[in-house]
Amino acid sequence: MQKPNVKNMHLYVEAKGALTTAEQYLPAFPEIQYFVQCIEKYFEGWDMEGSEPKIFVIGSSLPEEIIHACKKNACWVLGGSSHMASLADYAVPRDTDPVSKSSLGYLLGEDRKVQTRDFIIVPLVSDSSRKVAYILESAGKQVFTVDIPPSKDDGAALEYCRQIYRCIHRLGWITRQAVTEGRLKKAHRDISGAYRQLVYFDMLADEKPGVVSGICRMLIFFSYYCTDSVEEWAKRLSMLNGRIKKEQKGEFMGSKGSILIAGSPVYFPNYKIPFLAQEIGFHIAGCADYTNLKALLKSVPQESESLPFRTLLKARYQADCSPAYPNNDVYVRAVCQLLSRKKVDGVIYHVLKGQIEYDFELNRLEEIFAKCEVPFIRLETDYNPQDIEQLRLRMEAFAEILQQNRHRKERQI
Amino acid sequence: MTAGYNEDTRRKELFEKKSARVAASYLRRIKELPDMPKEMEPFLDVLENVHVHFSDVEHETQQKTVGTFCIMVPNELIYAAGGVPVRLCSGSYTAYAVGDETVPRDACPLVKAVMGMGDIRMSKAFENCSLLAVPITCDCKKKIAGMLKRVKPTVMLHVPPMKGTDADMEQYLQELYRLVSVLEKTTGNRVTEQTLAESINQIGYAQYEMSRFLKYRRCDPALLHGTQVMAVMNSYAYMPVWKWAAQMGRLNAEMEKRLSERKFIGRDNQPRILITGSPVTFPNIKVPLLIEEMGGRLVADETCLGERALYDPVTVVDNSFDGMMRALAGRYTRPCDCPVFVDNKQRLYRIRQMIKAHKVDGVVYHVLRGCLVYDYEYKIMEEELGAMDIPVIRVESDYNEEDVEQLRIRIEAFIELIKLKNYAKQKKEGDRHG
Repeated sequence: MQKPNVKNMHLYVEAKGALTTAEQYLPAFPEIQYFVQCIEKYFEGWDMEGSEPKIFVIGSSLPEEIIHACKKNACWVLGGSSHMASLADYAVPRDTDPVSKSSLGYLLGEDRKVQTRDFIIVPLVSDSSRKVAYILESAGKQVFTVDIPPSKDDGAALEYCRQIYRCIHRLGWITRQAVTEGRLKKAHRDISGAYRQLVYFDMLADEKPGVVSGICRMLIFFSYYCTDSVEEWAKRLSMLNGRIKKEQKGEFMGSKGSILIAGSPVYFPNYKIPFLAQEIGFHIAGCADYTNLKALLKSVPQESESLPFRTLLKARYQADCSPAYPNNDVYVRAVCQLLSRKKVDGVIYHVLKGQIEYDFELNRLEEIFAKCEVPFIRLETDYNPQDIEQLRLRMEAFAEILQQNRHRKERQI
Repeated sequence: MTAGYNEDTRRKELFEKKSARVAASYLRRIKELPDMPKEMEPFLDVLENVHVHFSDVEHETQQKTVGTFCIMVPNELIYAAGGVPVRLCSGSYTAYAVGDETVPRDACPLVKAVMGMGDIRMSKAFENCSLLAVPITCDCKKKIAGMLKRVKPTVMLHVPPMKGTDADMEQYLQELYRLVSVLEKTTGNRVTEQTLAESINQIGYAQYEMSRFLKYRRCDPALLHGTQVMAVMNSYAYMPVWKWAAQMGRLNAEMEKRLSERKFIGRDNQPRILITGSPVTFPNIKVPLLIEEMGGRLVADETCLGERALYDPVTVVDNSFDGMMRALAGRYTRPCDCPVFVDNKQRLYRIRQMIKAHKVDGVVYHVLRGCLVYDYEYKIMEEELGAMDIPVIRVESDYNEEDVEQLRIRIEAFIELIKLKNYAKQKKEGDRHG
């Protein structure tokens, strides 16, 4: 396990452990190794030495194009690590959500040595993001906040564009790169290309559930935020897609039924819920969390690439499916869309403790699940492993319900 | 159908009875605190009308009422449009229990109570609102704004999370212009330069009377019970501003008389407490009451239904319509020390200033369960107050009476601690002076 270039051994061990567990659910294709390596490299950590300022982005709500257009790589701090969450425990209230805790631990941790010249972008989407920005600033970090207006009307869209362009200018200044419209559009083309591959991969995975497991699907989605080069990543995914296409359908592994995981984001290495689902015998047909939905919805037709970047930005903001808006029709619609497309037997609604927005959405989704006659279970958890057995029991009971439902339907037929 | 109707009516009646009982019992306890000024009664009557008899707020028949939340909605604009603002942040335990069914378990009690109020439809002040103005401040307010929009005309105001730059204020100014047009549509009246100037003056007068009142609140030994003061501040939410200000003037006259006659309500060695943190909304006034019942003297509050709401006046330097709008945008963001802003050092400065001005001995930091933004600021506050040698206690509570005895023990111990500290300090000073 001892790797000389690893910056945080605890984080690396945590990620490596999860990766080893995940590998048993991955197809034995050589094409998949690139994605595994991307994730492993991400958790080895960045080389924080050198004179160049590093860019960190908290969460996945910032348009990636603006980083890409600076010809820089950013470290997307998504949370997901229980070790990192424990590092920030002292700085935040007890009820803070684990994603915010983990992100803060990642940036405040001594071993990471985020320096004053490094640049941390914090999109302000929740109470915690606002306060995390302040804590980082008070700790002497260079923080840039991007305000995401909540109402999505035309005025709000203009304000959103203003905020993003403010960020672009600052990034240009930090990286000494002129971020032109041409560069932004080129970045948009590259990223859209990557997303198109991702959507195609998702479709292939739906077609061949015996080849691509739910864990594999989630890892590939996550690896997008770990890569150094989006072009390379898209090329590799295209190769993987080619390989999957050639494969036979294979044996369907979900003896206990096919499920959709919705709700709070499931970020690697916190794959507690997917691992349990897989162990119990569910097939994870998809993950309807913000990051995955964003990827699936963001794929734009090639014709739109000629539009001005500002227009694209506005359209994307208005179609954003984050639950951090008061009216969350896009999110609800996106979940419905996945429900009808994936024909799942049940839904696991995952709520991370403290992520209240997802809990608010549950009431509306509950009605939709009932209308579609899809059973669901709400599982509340955090990044600690203590509740695993409790979750297992509840998921096993849920599997029984799904099985009974299936038998009932078969008898009716 | 009839059975369902009867069941609903029975349920509503049950909630009304329970809610009225709780509000009446807290009002009684407030009134029972000794030496209540006579001029304070009209304020408590208003609370009784709204919370015990569920009457609507006072307004003329043709006037529309506009429900507001938080302190970022300028009441000046509502008055200028010929409307009457009603602050709907609720402290009802019964509404909270009802709201618990519609909003997530971990949502803050205030938000649960608001949603519960909407569900049981017992509050006329809420029911009769023609428009709701909800500033998007915290996560819970954001989500209930979406929920309320489905049942009532609602306008959301995007509060900038930063308030340092002109661009932030400019953005809020645009929001206020949007609010003006919605208000004009709702009330059917135009907001003119004249009506806006008049309403700014009216609220300015109320602020002036309140600043006079705060002078009496600061007195040492105390002239007033802090709990009664908080009830008075709460009544501002349900009274037309001119009426509130006029009554405040009469109360101030009575206080002046009491001061000249040196009619103090307590001894000069009682621990002087400041309460800060999550809003203390009537009838959830248990923490202030406990502080005073346990021998503390609540001399100041830094809460959004207390001093914070009316402390800073609108400063108009340009009398044009746009100038006044800019003054409002500035007033409702820049001096506001609500913790929803990213950088809220102002709150520290304000509390430091209050500790000095009100001669505070200890701070009670009130956190409503689920009110994360206040909880985030506790750590900084604790460090700051520690450096000032001011004891602080974090009191987490909910909208029910089950934790009262637990709170009582903690608050009592805190007050005893301050008494001992003060005693030791006095002894030390006495020794030094021989």
